Amino acid sequence: METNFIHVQIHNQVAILELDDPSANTLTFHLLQELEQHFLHLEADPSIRGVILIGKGDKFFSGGVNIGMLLTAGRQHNSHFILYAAEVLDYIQSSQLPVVTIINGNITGGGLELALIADYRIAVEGDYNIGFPEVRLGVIPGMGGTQRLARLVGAQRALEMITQGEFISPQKSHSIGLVDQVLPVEAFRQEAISQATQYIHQHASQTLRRAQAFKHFPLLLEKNWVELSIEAGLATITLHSACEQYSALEILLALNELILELRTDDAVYALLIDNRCTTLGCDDSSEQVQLLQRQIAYIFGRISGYARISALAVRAPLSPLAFELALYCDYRLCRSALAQSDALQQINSLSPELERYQDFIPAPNSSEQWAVPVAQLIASSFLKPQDQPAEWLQRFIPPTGAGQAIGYAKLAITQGHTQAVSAALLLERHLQEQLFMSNDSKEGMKAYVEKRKPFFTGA
Amino acid sequence: MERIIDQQFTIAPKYHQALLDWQAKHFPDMALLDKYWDKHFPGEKPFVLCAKTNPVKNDLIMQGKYRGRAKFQQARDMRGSMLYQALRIIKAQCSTELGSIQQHVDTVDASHSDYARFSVLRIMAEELRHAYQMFWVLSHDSSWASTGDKRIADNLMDELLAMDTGSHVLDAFNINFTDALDNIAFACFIDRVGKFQLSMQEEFAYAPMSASMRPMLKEEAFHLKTGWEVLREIAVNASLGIGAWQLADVQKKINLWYPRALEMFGNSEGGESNLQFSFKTISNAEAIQGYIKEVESLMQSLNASIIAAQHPDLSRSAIKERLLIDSPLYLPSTRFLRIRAATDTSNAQRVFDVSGKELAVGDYSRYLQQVLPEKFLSTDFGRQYLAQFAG
Repeated sequence: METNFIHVQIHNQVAILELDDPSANTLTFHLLQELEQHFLHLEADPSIRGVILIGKGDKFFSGGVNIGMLLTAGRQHNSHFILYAAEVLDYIQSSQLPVVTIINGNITGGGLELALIADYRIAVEGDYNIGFPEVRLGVIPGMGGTQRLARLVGAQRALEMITQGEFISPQKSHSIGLVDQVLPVEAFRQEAISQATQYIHQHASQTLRRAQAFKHFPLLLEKNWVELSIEAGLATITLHSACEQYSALEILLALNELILELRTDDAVYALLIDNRCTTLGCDDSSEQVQLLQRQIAYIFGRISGYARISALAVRAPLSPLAFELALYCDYRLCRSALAQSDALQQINSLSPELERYQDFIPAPNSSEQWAVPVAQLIASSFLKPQDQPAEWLQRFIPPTGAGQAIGYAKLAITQGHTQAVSAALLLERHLQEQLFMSNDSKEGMKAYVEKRKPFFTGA
Repeated sequence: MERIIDQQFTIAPKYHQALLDWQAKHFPDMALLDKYWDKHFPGEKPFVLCAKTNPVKNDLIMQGKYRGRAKFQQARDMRGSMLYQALRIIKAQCSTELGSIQQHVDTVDASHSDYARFSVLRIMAEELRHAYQMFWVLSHDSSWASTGDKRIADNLMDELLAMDTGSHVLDAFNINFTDALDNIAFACFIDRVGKFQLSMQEEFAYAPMSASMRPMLKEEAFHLKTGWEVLREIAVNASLGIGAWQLADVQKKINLWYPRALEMFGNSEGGESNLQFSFKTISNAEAIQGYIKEVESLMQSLNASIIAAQHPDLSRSAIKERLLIDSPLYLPSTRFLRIRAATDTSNAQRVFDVSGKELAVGDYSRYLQQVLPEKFLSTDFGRQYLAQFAG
């Protein structure tokens, strides 16, 4: 991955990430992808104690989401972008690494949403803009800004700031608790970095940073061992046997890039992950487990949160990381040879995703690791015997399957079942409203009335 | 992708035909140009609707964030906000080309001479070719489809084809012409901005765009020549009481188009990111200063021609001396009729006369009726502008 928009400097065990996309450091897919990649690596580096976010120059921290992008890139792209941005911000906020934002100039809209994920905010004195102008553009802060601001400054202040769409000064921001510290312009950058570093060292967790691995990853991965192909609505990610040489994090990062690429391709309606490895994730030492589980939940969570059906092709009993992957896929399609064998599947997952399969996977015995016959997993439908997984998935792909409706149904279930019923119902209603506007819903109902097979287009 | 050399291209049939359909609707007289080309432009190569490229001036990006790197050959290589800014510039460029044809067509038939009429028709045809050129930039590179929405370039071309006077990107192209003097004043003042923009875009970081500029600039030279020569002819005749227009009419057109030209450069504080991405070579402020200097010099020359026509006995030096005390035509203050400034909070509701003196908002509408073309204030654009100051 080429890095153009985030410059990284390590100073006194603190990573300083400088946003640089002229002239306003606006948020685009590319910038956020770099931010995410850097953060995943920094998190896995035991020498790093915390992260500082700062904008290049003295005019902008960030002017928010790039409006030119929103105007030209299309509705689907923008929808993917907002989802992705929200995920990245959530992930950074939930990190054990303390994060400090240094507000070096104008900070508006999505830029302020980014700053809100930090544990501490330091702003420069001066006459510049801080605020959420979204309603003036006919939208709202959509990357968690409404919720984070209300929790930071109180619901009433948040309501006033967001509904009026007006800017406030650094001094006012400080007085309402939006900014923790305001420093003079003179030597601001140096002083703010010094204060931020001090804050990070005071608040850095002593426990998680023992991890020893992942330290020397190149940011640009040569990935001939994972491959993405797309044909007639079906995306296939092949994990070649060469994957067995790579660590769990490397595999996660490689899969992450491909999944992100897929999510922005509107012509994809189903995903098949063809795992050709016997083992997956070569150096899962116990010291990494906590971090690994967090990154697994984040990256594989993109598969269960992807509004498309996903399936894992299973050729042999699954290694631990592959089993985790299987939990996040919608279907696990195993070869008949495996189905007819008396192989055992080792299960040592602590993933919360296991809850989804409580009727499919027998409860653990007293030990953390237990073995279940593959035949039993087939009997419970956790594994589905299928020698032609690509053909089997055609049922979810237009013109046969209403790909969008199928994806939304999946989303309502996978995302809704972990939420409060009221939130899940809201999600379901929102998705249904979207579908009522689709051509496929019209075609599906029309074909039903006309007693013919529908011809779906996915639109 | 191979390095672009001198070449001519036809774009994909779908958009080639779409532009021909657009031409049939908005510029039906283009065939006349072909018929009478040799009569009005003897010895010049006949007009062909195609895309043309020349080798880029520099293979490397010469300034800004990507200085020293090879110019981007494919759209997908432009990342982050650079990509969307490039699209915005291409859109604005193409919108000006199509928009100007929609303006010219209303009044070109009322031109005061055959030469003026056919020169304007040629300008319109070449503007159509420039739009075609921008469609080539958007359609020849399949990697636009991998920059976000697959239809990102197609959507933009569809949007451009649907634009009309009133929905173009820049204000100057949303004003209906009200007589044939507009065709000429526009070519003189607005096309001159085009020359500045195209020259700067010769260093555009996206190679297909920079390679497009030289042929466009060559054609733009004819537009400027027409604008200047015919405006001088009209002004000189007007000063002698010949023709349909008086000098006051010419001045009113200058009062209308010169401020629009200045606004086409953008905010004088802005343009930093265009420099950073090497989309332009100088800041907005520098470009504005360059333009003003050039137009001041033209005005000086125009006034000299008027005085020489009125006083054929005066020597060159006597004309120069006379110019110090007598300027029949003048450029209005840069503060006059700045429509964009009126929506900028810092200058909201502050209005100025042609000398730059601030006026009371309540007096402004009446004042504009004296210094702007009467019919302009009755156009949609003029009425919408005046409505801001009503009551």
